[in-house]
Amino acid sequence: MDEKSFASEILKKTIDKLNSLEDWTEEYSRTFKDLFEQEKYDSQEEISRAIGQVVENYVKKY
Amino acid sequence: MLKSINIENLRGIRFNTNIDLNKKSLIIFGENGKGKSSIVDGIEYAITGDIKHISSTCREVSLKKHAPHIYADFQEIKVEVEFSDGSVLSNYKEPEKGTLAYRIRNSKLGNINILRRSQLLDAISAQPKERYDLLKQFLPLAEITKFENALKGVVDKFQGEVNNLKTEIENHMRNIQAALDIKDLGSVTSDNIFSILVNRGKQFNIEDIKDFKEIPEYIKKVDNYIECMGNINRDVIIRNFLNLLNELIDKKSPELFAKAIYDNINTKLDLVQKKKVVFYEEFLTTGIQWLQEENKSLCPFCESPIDVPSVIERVKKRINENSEYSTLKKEFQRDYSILQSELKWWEDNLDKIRNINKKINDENIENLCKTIEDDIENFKKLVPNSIQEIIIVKNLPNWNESIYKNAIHLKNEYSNKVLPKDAVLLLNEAIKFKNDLKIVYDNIVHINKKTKENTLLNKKYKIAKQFYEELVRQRKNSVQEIYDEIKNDINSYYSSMHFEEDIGDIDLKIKDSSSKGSVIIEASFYEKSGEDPRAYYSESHLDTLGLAIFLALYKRECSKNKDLRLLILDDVLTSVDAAHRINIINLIFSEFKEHQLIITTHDIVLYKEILELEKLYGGNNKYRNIEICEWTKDRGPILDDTKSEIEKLREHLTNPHTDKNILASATGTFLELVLCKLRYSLELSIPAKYQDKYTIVDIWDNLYSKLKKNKEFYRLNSKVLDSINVSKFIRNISGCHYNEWAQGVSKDEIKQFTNNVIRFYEIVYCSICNSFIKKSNDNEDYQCNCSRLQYNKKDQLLIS
Repeated sequence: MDEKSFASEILKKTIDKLNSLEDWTEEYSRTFKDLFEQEKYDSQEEISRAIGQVVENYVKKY
Repeated sequence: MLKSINIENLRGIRFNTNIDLNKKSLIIFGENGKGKSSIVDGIEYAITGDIKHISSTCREVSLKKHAPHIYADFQEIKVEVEFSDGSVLSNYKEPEKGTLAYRIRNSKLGNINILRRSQLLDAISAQPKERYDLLKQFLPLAEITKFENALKGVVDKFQGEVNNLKTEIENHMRNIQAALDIKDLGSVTSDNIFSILVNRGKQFNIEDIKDFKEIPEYIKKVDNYIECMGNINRDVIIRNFLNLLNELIDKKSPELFAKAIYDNINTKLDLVQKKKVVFYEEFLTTGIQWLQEENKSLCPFCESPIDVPSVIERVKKRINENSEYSTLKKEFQRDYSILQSELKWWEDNLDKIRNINKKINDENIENLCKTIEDDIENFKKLVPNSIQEIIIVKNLPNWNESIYKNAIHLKNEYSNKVLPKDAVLLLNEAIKFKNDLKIVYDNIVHINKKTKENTLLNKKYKIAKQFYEELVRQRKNSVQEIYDEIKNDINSYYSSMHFEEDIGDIDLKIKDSSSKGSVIIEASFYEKSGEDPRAYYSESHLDTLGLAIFLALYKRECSKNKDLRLLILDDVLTSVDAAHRINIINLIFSEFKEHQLIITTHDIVLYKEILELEKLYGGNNKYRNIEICEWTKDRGPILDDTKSEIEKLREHLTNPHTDKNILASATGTFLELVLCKLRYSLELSIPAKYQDKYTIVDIWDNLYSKLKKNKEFYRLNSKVLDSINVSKFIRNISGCHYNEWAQGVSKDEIKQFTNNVIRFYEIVYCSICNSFIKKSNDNEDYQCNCSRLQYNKKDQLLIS
């Protein structure tokens, strides 16, 4: 198994686990999946920006 | 599978070293420092673009600086491996899409298939946390580590920002604490702040404040209170004015100081007028001395007779007069300075009063100022600034008495205008209260804003942290799953290596204590189980434990990646005894029989054992064996492989820049290699040497006489043979050591020597069947495997 598939599997397990928690919204899951698929997961700026966006959306929504 | 390997200017390899494998496994023997690991480094670099044991050693050692050969630059490194489908992975060209090389390059395998001896013990002997990192390089963790590191960076960044905001909020609370004089920061609560503000507001009869939003309105109410109570600013100004007037009234008139000057001078007016005739004191004193000591009777100027005692008396009188004048001058200067400083005081206070009057705007005050200003001007004009000026008593200026009278009048008038003391205290308190209200309000606005920001930031921080922690947990779980998955293989391999030994039951466990991960190894030792193997196992048992773990990891990876069929073991069996290593080689050859193996060793006995075992697993059809016979700094490893060495020699010969000494050395080494091969194939009677290390001298004479006896061979090749016989010394004089007298050998002579050696190789080695000529019968007839080359002792050479 190559390193990217291995990382992808770990990401999937992480999201599945967090999705089972109450306060983990679907939006978070999608954001991290998107980051991974767009190969932006090794950029602090991109992760930081994405989380910021998710939280702002969350606050607007609720 | 690899078809060939080419390495140039990497680590210990200088010139292009080509190894043709044609999908065969490769066993490399070479003593320590002969360049075996450089070949492994070259393969690793071509496949992964990295040499892990260099790039991850320490900060001081880097790939860019330490991967190139010591005489080469990083850009000169050239490595390439050709795969079974003809595709190539190299450090200078990207592989074509769809090829095996492309798939391998893009599968990001890391160096999961390369094991070096140093890694074995390191991984087993390390502490659990370090062990995790060491084993990590054999696991596909590079990408997830990048993700984790970036995420950790974000967690830390958010945490830092949350802390900064907390500090800022705390600073705002401290400002409120200081303004309201609250004892400790913990008591800066809404209730306390309200209670203090309400209490302070009561003394001004202002309604209670109910909400922080009311503070701006509340400030207006305090402002109204201050306004009603009187103008505190004007009161302060008037009080300052009164202070100035008091000082002025108490101040002595400058006239008194001027009069002192005049009085003093007038009493000694004669002295001042005589000043013109008074001579210098020192000159006169010297003159007296001269007259007395030299008993002079004549005037020094006109030489007329003089009455010396009378002259001395008159001169002494003049000296006295001069002394009095000096004193008077000093007194004048002192009194004049005093007067000037008095006038300066008046000037300064005049400015202050005028500044105050800008706010009061009272005509009487301005009149007072004008009078003072005129008098100062008058004094400056009339009082002489030098004793030389003629002092006239009637010129003594007047200081206007009305100044004091008007000042007293103004004092009385303005004393009635100041506010009562109690009112001032209350007003000051109200002003402070107003300022404190502003501080409280401004800081509360900031606290509210930042608390809002903090809530958002905290949310981000919590999400990032939660995600990071779960990702780490899942990564550890996944690694544990791998370890569980390979557990059976590890134990199976380990028992194959150590059968009939009551050890094993190896288990790798990820500990949850560290965020990155740590691995503990448990194993059994006779009746003890679940023990740390470092406690009981020997060094070689620990080495083989590392090897068993590595092989199991490699096997697992191969089951998921069908392209991975290349296992490289660099000198991994050093510490293992003969019996165990045969077990291990058997295990590797049987377990990975469908794989291409590259195994290096510096142990000649192990090498020979492997050669024997090869026969059981496919022999020459499956294995290629290379011995590195020599290594030099200038040329790198010299392989016991005439086919690749002849190419290098031809390159040296045709390259105009090749140094003649290097050419001589390369030719001599190659000739030695050919002679060693012929020593066996022609069955020469040569005394055996340790590790088969023969020089030209050891073999040549015997071979030369034997080849001469083969009439056909000699008739056809006598020119080449005789030329080598006379010029073989070149190897020793020019190629081995630096000899001054050997510098006389020209490059053309060396090139001729090289040409003869190449020609000699071509007549004893068949490039079709890849074999040297050998004895075909007892008659000393020679031929290659395919009989293309045949030299019969009596017959003609036959070329089929």
